[in-house]
Amino acid sequence: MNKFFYPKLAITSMRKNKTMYFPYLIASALCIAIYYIMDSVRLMVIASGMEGRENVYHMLAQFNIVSGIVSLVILFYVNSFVIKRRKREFGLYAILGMEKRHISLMLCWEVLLLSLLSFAAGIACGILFSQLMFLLLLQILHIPAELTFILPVDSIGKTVVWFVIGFIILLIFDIISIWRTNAIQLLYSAKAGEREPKARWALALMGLLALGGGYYLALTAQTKADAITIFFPAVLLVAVGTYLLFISGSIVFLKLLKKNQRFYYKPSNFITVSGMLYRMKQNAVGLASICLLSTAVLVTLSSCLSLFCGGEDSIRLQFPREAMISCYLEEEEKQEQDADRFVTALEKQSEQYDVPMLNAVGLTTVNHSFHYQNGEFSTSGGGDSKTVYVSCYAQEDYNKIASTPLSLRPGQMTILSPSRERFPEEISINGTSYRTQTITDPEITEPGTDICFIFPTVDDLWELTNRIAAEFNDYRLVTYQYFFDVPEDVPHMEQFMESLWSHWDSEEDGAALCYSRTKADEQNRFYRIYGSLFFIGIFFVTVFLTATVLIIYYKQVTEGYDDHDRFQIMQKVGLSDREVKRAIQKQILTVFFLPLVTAVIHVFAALPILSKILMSLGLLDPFVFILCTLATISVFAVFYFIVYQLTAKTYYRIVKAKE
Amino acid sequence: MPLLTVNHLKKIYTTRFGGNQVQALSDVTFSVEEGEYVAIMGESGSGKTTLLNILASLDQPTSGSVILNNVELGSIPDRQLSAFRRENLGFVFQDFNLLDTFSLYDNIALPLVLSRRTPKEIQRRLLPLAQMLGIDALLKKYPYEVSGGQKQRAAVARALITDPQIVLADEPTGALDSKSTDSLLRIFEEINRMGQTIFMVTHSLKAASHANRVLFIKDGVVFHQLYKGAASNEEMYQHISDALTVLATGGKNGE
Repeated sequence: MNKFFYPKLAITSMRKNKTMYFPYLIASALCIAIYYIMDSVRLMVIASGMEGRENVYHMLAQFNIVSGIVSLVILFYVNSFVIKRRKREFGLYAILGMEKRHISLMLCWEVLLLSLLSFAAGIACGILFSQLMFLLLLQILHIPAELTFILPVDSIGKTVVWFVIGFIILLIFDIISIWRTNAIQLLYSAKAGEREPKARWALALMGLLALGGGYYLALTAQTKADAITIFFPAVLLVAVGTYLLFISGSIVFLKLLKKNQRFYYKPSNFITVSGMLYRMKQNAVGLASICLLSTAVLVTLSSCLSLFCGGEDSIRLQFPREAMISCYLEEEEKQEQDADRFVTALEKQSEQYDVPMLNAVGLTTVNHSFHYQNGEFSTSGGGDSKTVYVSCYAQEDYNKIASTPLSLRPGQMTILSPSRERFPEEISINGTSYRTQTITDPEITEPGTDICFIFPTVDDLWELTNRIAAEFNDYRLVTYQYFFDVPEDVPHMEQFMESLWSHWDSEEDGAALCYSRTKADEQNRFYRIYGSLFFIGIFFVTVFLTATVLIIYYKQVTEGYDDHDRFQIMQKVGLSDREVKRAIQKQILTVFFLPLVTAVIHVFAALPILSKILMSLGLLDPFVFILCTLATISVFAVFYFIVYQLTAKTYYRIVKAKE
Repeated sequence: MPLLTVNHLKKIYTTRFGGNQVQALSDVTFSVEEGEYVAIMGESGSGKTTLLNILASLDQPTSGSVILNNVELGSIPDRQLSAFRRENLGFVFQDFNLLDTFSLYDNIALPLVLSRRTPKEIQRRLLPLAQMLGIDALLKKYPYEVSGGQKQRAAVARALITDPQIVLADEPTGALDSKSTDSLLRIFEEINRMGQTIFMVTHSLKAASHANRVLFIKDGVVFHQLYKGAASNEEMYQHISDALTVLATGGKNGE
């Protein structure tokens, strides 16, 4: 036999099945490209010698493992779909006299060709885009670094090894599935009759309970700490609920519709409802997966985006000046003198390093957690109350940095609420009542706290501290924060700031523990962490979207082949072209927009809990998050619609094809 | 005035690239009276299926006309064609063409649902018909749960439920075993006795021998016809067999 027989056969059959193989090829090339890009960008980060490169390197490395695994799952899904559709063809080959080992040999050639093509395309794209992606990363990180062009052979090797293993597993899987079926089975494998799905009330009910439970957890989480502990159980419940509801809830609902004769025996409902019953049976899992993937895309993208957009603001609010030094004051009686002595010591130090401190302001702060319920704050308490972390200032201090000074009289106070939560006009703190005013766009926030109290005088602050101290074993924690600007390009700035971390003598200098931060450092740290996160988020979304698009595409194609015969019959029995088209459209629209609608509902239900989690990560303004979420949803919906349009075309072509 | 008149029907297929022309029907003329049971026979490629597709208004003739109950099929606008087909024609196919997503009941009800009849009316018309065809116990079942003969009876019920002017059957016994074939042919005879006009394309001598009249088609023309008259099914079988022998061996000389 001609030695090129099998490669030729493989090429012909792939070309014949190009509706299946083209997206397969694109998907595998894309997965390879993403894997390669992430790996090479990681190496470029190291080579560039940028500041804090280890952090970025490790984050990218972790993502790379995840994306590698997700890529293989995607390829498996696509492959199993393609093989299932081609079983008839293999059956025909078998009838014509090809043995299973011949079919396997042909499959080997196919996988070999496919992998070669996708390696070539994937790595070529990878090399082209990795440089661009590295530039993008630098842009996002706001970190100056050398643009290094390297062509990491290591990355190519790693990518090839990873995906070759993947393709070999796929091939073994294919060959096993060929060997396990016989020719006649292969020939008729697609024709087996489908049983009508049964309505499983118990499962539907469980799904409803799981989903309801997940939503309940997400909507009732009170504090940031709660939000973080509750998040994963809630996600799990919603995921389980979504699967169960798609699988059994949909069938139960359709069966109910079917029972209603007046509704069911109408031309469009008649075909839609009975068609949907089968469609949901076959596609429920796929649709639920699309729904959860879409939710993941939306959540990831909107969170990364809002952290990235809102982070700058939250840093600005923490730093009324360019740099800050903070220390703890211990003894109640001497606190005021301690602060003075601390400032004196600081000034000595600044002279020594020749770092002038301009526009300096000092603030005395008390940070403490309170239980809050119905306008009452108390340090003891519990029950149904929620915990809020509060930093307290005196009006006198606050006015030093505020652009609109306050003039509070005794018995009055102001609450700064960056989360835009409003408090009643009459509140009480440990039994003392105040008339309050809530400011929802404050000019200062303390990292890690929810709200700020501003009292009319320093004495109110002392009184509060003493009360807390009496309650908690004489424990006092008063912070003194010293903010100042520095002229640009001070030579010993770094050394000065570092020197402040150590060598404080509480007797001499009035402070025991001290730390210092600059706005610039904080911004760098922020961009390194959240910039990398955002960058990874973009890739994550690309991988998720690839998975979503592929599932949608292959669903449409399978549906198309199934519906082809069905609509042929309906036309013979007297359904017009227009009616056929309308019936198809109704089903397809329902099937494909159900996951999107559900995903959007999930995201809205997750908004409160997510905004709490984001707050603990430093995003203070929930409006930023809501805006980012809305933007993400709209962009995603448009994208989804385009994918639908494109795949629907393939679908119609298959359905309308003549014998 | 006959129920169905077919005048000088001609159908030429052009292959996709316009090269070869295939003449499926050259000149077919015949008519069917109301209440008749007509079978049409011919070898593969003789144009039977083309003829049936044109009668079913699924295909347009190159020239000639088909008139059903004073309405020329070619004059019906495209948009009303499906409705016309639904209301006036009943179809029985070789491979049943039942929808596997519908129960037998819903399969039979399909044409009425498309014509927007109420659930009550559908039930009123469907149940006696199902009883007559002996499938009333199976109505809740799905096509893949019943035998071929039962499927074909459900298909017959679907064809009859709109009270069509004419039932067009395309090899209705082609996929059935001999027992189911007998029972289906008895059903056809029975509904014909009740006044239903039937036009059946078939290969099967046995099926054709049940008809009142058999048309023979060859190379796109109606070549010969046989009336049953008072003959029994067995005698008719013999006549048809003789005619087919002549047709296959003698060609034009045998006429």
